[in-house]
Amino acid sequence: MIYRFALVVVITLLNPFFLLAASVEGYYDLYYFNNQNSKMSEETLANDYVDTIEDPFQPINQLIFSINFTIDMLAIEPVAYVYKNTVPEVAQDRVGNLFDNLSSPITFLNQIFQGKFEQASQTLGRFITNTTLGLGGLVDVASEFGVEKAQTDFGLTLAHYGFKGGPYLVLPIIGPTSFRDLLGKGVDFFSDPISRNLNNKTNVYLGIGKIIYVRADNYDLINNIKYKSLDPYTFMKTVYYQNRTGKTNE
Amino acid sequence: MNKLTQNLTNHLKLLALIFSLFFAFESRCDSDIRDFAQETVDRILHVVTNDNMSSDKKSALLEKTFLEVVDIPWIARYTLGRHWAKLTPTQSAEFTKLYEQYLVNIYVPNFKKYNSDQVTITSIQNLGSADKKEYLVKTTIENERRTTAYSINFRVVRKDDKLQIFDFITEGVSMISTQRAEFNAIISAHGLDYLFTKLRSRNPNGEE
Repeated sequence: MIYRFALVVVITLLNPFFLLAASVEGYYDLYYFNNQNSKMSEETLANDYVDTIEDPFQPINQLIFSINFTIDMLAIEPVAYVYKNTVPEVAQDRVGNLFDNLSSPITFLNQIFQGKFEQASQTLGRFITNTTLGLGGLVDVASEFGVEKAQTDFGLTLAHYGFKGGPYLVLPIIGPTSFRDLLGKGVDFFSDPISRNLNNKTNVYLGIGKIIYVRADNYDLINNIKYKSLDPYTFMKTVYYQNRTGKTNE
Repeated sequence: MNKLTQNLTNHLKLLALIFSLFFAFESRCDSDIRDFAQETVDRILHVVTNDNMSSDKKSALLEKTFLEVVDIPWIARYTLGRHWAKLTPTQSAEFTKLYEQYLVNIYVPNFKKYNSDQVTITSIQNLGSADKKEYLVKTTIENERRTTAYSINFRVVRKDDKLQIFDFITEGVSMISTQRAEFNAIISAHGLDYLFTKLRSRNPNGEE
């Protein structure tokens, strides 16, 4: 455990991309508007569009995006389609609850890191309730009691302390991320008490299961991006950064 | 002393009147935005939950509602930014029409999925414009399958006493910001003509 923690610290401190990510102006002005002026003024209409998302690796990102697109079309989308249309909705909901519950320890730790102690206590309460009364997390009993779920991660913890997203990245299979969020994913993986107590094989199965579940849960949304968007790469990049900015400001 | 008290009382009454008029006006503004939002939601739900209506009829009514409540000409201009000025009147009219059809094709089918959802307007806030005519309406949508609600917000503008939506924000993602980014990326890489070609290709009656 100490070895893993030390590894994460060393990676964090020595990673030049992390330093870069911290220094690069992010995407906080992605929303073209600001709240001080009329959003519908002639000035707003005439202004030039400024792409504030750093994308220095665009050629390689686009290549990986195309490969992911093909993998999705050939393998993930068909499996997600079958899952979505054959597995009863109740069972799909239970699977969703299970994955939500498995992510609770990471959310709890990051809420503590972000100083959100009240939310952290709710997440802990949800985890205990759903793991015990909710049959290991299959049933979301806590929400029935009015304790709403929340989700956060180490990428958002870094954002909470002012680290910008940094350059945009597209990872094989995993998809869109940023340098900051990639680092966050690494820290979350190594510090997750659940994945650390499972063997590699189980972690791989859970990872594949989650990819299928997420794809099926967002089936129409992702298909809209893939098949209806005029420029799926830019669309996905913009959506990713806006969504993360929204979560940062929550 | 009595005169002073009387004067003071009169001043306070006048102040109270001004305040009450101000708040009454503010409240009227908020309430008509709320009415507009609620009416729009009700119109959509009325169509999508009607089991006796054919799918084609539903699509036609939803499209009509969408075109009435969304300020598409403004959004079309916004998505192009400075490139709009390069268009001739004929081209700008064509772009607006193509964009309108593109939006209808993407969004109207999605409305049909809200047939078992409970939509609640949670807040209405002025967006801070000096003339107080732009608002953010926040809604939460609860699905009977989902224990946790998700949010769809929209920006509303008052133009000549008519209210219209000029942006949808789903889970923090703004429709018009996304499409502005997307269209500008296409124009930067391939030019305006290519954007027209792509839009025509997405139009059921268009050609690649």
